[in-house]
Amino acid sequence: MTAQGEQNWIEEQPQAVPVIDCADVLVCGGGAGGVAAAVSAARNGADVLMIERDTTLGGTGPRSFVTEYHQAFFTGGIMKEVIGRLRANGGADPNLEDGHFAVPFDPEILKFVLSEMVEEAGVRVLPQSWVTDAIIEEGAVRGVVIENKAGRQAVLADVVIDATGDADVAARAGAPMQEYNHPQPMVMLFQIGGVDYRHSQDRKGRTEMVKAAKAAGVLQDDVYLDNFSNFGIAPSTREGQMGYIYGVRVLQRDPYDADDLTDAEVRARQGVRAFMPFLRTVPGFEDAYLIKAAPMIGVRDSRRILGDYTLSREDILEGLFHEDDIFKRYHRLPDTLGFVRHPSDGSETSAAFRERLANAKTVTSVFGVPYGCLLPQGIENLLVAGKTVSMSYEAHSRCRQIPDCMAFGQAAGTAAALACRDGVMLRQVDIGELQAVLIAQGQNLADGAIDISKAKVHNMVRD
Amino acid sequence: MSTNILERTSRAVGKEIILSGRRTPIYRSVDVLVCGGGLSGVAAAVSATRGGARTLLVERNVVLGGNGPLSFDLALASVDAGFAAEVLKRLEQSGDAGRDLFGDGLVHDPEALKYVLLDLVQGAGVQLLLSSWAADPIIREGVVRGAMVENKSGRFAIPAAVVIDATGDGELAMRAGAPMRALYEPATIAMNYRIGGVHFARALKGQADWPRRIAEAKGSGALSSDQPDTLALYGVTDAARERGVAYVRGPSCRIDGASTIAHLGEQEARARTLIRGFLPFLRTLPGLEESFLIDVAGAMQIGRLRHVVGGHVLRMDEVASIREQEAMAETVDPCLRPRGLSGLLVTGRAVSAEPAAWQALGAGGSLALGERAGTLAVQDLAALSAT
Repeated sequence: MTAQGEQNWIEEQPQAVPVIDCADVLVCGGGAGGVAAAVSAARNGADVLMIERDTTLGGTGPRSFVTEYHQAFFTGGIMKEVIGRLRANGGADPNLEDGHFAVPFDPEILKFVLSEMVEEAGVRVLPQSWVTDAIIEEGAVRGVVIENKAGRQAVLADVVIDATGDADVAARAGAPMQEYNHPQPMVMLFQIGGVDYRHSQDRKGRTEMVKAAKAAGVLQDDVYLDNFSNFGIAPSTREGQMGYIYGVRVLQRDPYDADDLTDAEVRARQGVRAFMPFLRTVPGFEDAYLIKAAPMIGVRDSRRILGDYTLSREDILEGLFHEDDIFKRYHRLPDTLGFVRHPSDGSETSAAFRERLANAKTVTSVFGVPYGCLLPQGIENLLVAGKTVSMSYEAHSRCRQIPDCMAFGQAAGTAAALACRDGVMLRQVDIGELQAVLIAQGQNLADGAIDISKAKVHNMVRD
Repeated sequence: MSTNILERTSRAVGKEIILSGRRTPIYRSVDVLVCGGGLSGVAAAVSATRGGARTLLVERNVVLGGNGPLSFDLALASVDAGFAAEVLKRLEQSGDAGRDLFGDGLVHDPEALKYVLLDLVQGAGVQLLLSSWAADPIIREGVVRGAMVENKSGRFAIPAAVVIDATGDGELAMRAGAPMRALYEPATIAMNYRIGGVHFARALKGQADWPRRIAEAKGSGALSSDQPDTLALYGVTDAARERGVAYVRGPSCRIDGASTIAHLGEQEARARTLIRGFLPFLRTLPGLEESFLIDVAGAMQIGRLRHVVGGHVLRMDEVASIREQEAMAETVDPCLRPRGLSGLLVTGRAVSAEPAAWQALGAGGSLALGERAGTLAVQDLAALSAT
């Protein structure tokens, strides 16, 4: 987004800003990756400050209503702890067997759980503050510039963890990025009330209804999937007759372009409103009413850094391990070259796409994600955690979900704490010790820690 | 960004660092730049656009409406003129505004408000930039000439003939050096929440007994001593009543303006903990046995922390002038202009008004002041192009 014209810039004079805080480890972003990073760093002895632009923690779960963890049982550590706490607090089904594909959770209870974990760990949180720039000295990140109600300020740290979801800090620091040409569809889930769960779970004919509404021009083709589902129903969600509806999307928008984001948010919200009258024609949803559209549109992919190591398709499908692995992941998806589950043209529900997937061999593997994926090339003192770590386009599509973000975060936080304790650069962290600490703190990193025979392919958590 | 000094981090707090100068790209030039998409900002942007100005509305959130959608501040003014009446009429038409079952005032559905404001903004042709933080004003020879914005794309300059500060706290005015008055009385901040499963007839009947029940629960230890002493439901329109939905005025605390940001995180965590501890008790009350949490507000409801000092500071006895065109020009317009600063208008919560006057302006105040600010911006624009 820049202006066309003769002089398209303004000269800004040097500006003095106050340093309002400093920390061993500064975590930018309080989403899944950021919370895991901050908690892990603090538990391992670091003084941690976490800056969040919103007031609530948890990111995509509570803010974009992605209310399911996928393949999370095999991700140990913080992810497993979060699920345990959700179950203990009525936020997830305590009876759901280990190994299920999806764990639905209540996003409101998740906020309580994360807030509690952060507080217990002694993480300081600065909410409603935006990280707007990186402070760099001789190729090393020394802190960030922030904006909030108190003005433009600086925060300094020995290690900065970029968990912004868009690699904002890395980008401002000038880190090289992966190619990014095909943004996956953004999704706008919305919370409804008045669901009649006795009748809403009969999904027969629903696809036909959506298609008929599209054909009749009632629903716009590019704004809606060919089906919709009631996403991730936790027991408390069902008891309150609430639901989170997945079916509204926006195609071809760049998540780190402010004009695109503005347009996506507006279109998606309008799409939600226009969907409600249709929804009320579907059995079980006759009395449904809109509680609210997600506070933030769901973004599947964004900028990804070019790191010391880039996770590839081969790493995943061939189940490769590396000397510096920081977590291991169970994977079960079709072996299609260039696979993305949600292609940028929105064709995921098309017959052709389904057929392509049906004809592809499904590959089950366990692979390792190396520490090098978190380290942006050519920059010191900066770790990236979340969906923006160094992965190829296809690898990202297979390893980008909330449990992955938590695992990236846990590794980043732990590595940062070790670096601070020993007074060494991030690239000099003792990998053996990092792995030992991660294992001791619950990550499934030891040989044979993931038993794929326990994997259950599907479980009905949506309707 | 590089800087000139960087000490060992732990010694740096309290000192300043110098951010180097830079060439900041221009995003777009406009006639009127409105910073903040709450009620006042939306009113200002729509009114400026309708007056013929190319207007850009910058909002840091992704939805319009400010405190209603964000903090469940649901009060509306019963008005029959101006932009405020337009908003009210649209909400009433869809059944999304009405008398509050728990009180006499008008209240609205916060989700519906977002759509009504978006429709009005788009209908008028206001340019919109969401998820963007209006930061430093651009000042040339003592005159505000636009503002810098920060967003996912980076830092950008937006030159504008007139800037309207509708940030709620006079953020641009403060950065531009306008005189500000901090309010000595600490503001109350509260975390409200929304519940479902309410049986209203029984809840209404039992509400007189709630303070006693709370005291009793505190005495027995069922509620911790830091829980609120009172319970108040609100925001129940006819539609909400049918759905069993109500809002609860949540735990509050007093806070002074200077420390708000630093302690917001703690206060919010504390409020969430209190809400969580309160919910089981709520279900012991008649009519609320089946109640459940729908959501906690996205942000705490923050009162007025400071205001700009304008050419005039609105007094309590002048509040009625907001409804009369002539009196408005004489009394209200100088309140929208920060003293000693041109190119900038300030509307909304931070407007130059005494605390009692702001209170008396009530729920319609933000909309009415915003609308006026938009009109004034158009006038200023005409005056500028005439010279």
